[in-house]
Amino acid sequence: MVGRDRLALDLSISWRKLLSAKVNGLALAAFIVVLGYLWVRDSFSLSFRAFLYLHPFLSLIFSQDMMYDEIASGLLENVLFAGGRFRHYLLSKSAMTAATGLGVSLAIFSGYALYGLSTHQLGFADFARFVAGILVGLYYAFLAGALSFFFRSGSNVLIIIVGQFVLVAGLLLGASQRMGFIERLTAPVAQGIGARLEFLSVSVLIPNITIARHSWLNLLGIAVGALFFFALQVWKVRSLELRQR
Amino acid sequence: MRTVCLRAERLAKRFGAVEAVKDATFEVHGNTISCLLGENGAGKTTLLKLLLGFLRPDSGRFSLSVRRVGYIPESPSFFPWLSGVQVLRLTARALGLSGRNIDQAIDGLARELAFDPHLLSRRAHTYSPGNQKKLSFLQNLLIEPELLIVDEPFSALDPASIKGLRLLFRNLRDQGKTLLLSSHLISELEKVCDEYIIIKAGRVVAQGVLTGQPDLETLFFQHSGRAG
Repeated sequence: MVGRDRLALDLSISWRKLLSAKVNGLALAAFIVVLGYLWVRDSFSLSFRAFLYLHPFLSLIFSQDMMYDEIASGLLENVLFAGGRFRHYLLSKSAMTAATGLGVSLAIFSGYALYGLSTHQLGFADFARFVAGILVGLYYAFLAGALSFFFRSGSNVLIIIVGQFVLVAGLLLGASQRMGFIERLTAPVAQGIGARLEFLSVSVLIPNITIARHSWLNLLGIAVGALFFFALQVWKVRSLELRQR
Repeated sequence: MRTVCLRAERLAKRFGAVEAVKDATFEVHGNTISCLLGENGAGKTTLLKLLLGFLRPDSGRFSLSVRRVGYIPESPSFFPWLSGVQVLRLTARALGLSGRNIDQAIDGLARELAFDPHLLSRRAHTYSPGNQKKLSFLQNLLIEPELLIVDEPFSALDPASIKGLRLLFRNLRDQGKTLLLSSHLISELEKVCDEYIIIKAGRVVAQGVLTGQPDLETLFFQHSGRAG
């Protein structure tokens, strides 16, 4: 099989998987309904802000069940993936999933951008926030992909969401003891390298916060994180063997 | 002179403390049906997975004189989001077959394998084990492999399908293909195989041409060190 045919096959299988997962369609439909509701009931501005902060979660949801089940179930022990071609498939699938999240976000954003620009309700800062959101989406996709080597089915996504919930709940419950920390975290601009690193460490688990405060350091941190988790996937896949079923 | 289709030299694979394959050296000759015979856990499947690139050998090497290799695992499984016909079309398209040719080829092969074509519209993972095996055969025959490797070819199949399979194997050999069948079912292998490779505890202990005297069962017990 030549390279182009192989890529087409891998992308075709990955695309069908994305389409067949009901949770993907439901999440996307629910997201659009919520955005539409906020626009109609409140304003374009609120709907757009909800989009900016939440669209990276689409990439996270699309990245459920990426590796573990397919590797463990014997699905890849097929003539289509002989000669080590299963490695190419897994990496293509990871890249395609990330690209799909990015594409869906871009499609919805283009609708907002058309309306927002024509009514002068969008500025440069909004575009910058969207770019930050795209980076966060890629970060989620590659983080979830890397976790899916270790966790079954959709638990790779669930573990991130539970982690975020625990962190937020912990901060809220311990707010009186951690007032300084929370103030530094929610300040419009981080003062000093210590505060910046604090912010970055929280954004490892809740990267969406960098959309609100997208300094170059934060964006660089998220980009490096996304690259790290993608590189981790590449390393895991390259050393992967289909040992047992 | 016999051509060598596959040559393995001192292949080895270890899983932790377990040496699954040890210094396996053997040849599979072109245009023959060879059987890889061994007890349960002898290392047959590991050896096949090494040859197919699903595992990496710790040491040793192998070479193939053919480009297109087919593989039918003992218990094939398919992506739950693909129907039987989608599996076959994706396989065919990946190899450059066009739309009408694919459907014609699928129809012909389904008849040859006594596979109910109505099943093709259903999700492949919902088939019975026997029909999943037949779908895997269909998928492999569609790509017209020069070497077809089959792990436990007769498992999950009914007697009529097994009989049909023996005929299919012979037809493929007569068409110039090479087959490597891995099994522990001596009686079935003996009916179709021309050559044998016996593996014991991960090591290839014998290989040769089947002449009928002695029979495969005798050869197996001689080389496996078990009483017959």
